[in-house]
Amino acid sequence: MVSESEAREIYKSAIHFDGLNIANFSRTIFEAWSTGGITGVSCTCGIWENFRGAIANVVQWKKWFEEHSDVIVQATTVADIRQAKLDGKTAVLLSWQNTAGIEDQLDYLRVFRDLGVRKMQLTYNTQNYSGAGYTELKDSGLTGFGREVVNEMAKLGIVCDLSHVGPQTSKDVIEFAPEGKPPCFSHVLPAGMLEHPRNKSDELIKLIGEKGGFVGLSQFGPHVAKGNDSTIDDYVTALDYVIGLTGEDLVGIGSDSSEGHGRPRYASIISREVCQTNPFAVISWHGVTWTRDMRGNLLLGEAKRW
Amino acid sequence: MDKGYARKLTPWGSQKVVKPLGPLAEREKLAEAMARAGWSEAKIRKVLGENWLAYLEKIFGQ
Repeated sequence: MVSESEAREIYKSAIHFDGLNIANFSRTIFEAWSTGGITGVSCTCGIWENFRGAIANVVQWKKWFEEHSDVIVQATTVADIRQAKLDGKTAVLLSWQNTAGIEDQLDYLRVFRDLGVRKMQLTYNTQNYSGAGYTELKDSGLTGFGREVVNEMAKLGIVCDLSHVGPQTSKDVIEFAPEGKPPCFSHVLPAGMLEHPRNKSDELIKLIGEKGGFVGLSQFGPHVAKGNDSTIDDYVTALDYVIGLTGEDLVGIGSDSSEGHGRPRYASIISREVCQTNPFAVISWHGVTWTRDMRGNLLLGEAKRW
Repeated sequence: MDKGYARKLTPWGSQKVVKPLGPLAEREKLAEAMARAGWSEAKIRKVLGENWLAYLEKIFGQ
């Protein structure tokens, strides 16, 4: 039996990788990772942005890597993450929660891979060129374009994340992905403990496990069995539940931490108003810069990230 | 593609949400909870990060 004080010692020497943060990224968050002893984090730097907006977000991160090089470092390989541990820094894996950034151009995947965006969720909640998100009324399944995207991501060494992806599209991707390049659910909870469209069924979790894929568990109270009464011990119970489906080698943490953001009760409304009254306003919210596209259309989203 | 601005997709923007892992700066509490659940040192290390790294290696092709 490991005691709690032994566990704290183990934690200090262990690699701790968090498979998803969408925090209000700033020095405050970088220092929180430091204090928390977090070795590496997959950081969302794109959801709805088209090519131009996605580039702007990468540029911001490149500046942060320079300005805060005492606490964070960009990682594009596993060796980079292990080196960060030795150097006492937190490794940042730039990640997308949607493939909107490539627009309809398959070749743009390579550009973002070269910039270090090494993990992409295929769709975020809605329908896109590749497939359907979990809130779509009808799940299209993986599209013809989507097959090319999944193949190209595998070839380029980009992780394919299916967390917010619809059940049929998820199943199609798991079955279609090239041998040895399985997709992951980087931040999900098991529907076997609480039925919810955002949670993943036992069937899908087992299927992704059979392919050698990965399941990171998020910590969204309302999607856990005990709802907002859930404790950190209930989180570990959920980990054990998923381990029961896939074995203990394919499960980890994907906290979906949105630290630093208030509950965005009116954020979308406020953002709309600010943008409508100031056509040049650039709104920064949830680590995402909301701007206009080249035709002047506002790139706004609903107050949701989960 | 549909960028999600035209309809309400989830109600979470206005609802109470508890995050049982707590603040990022207190993440070591997760290891304590794993110990309370009777986990071995090897299992704790794997789930905290080694499993993620093994998976990433598969995809990145190191």
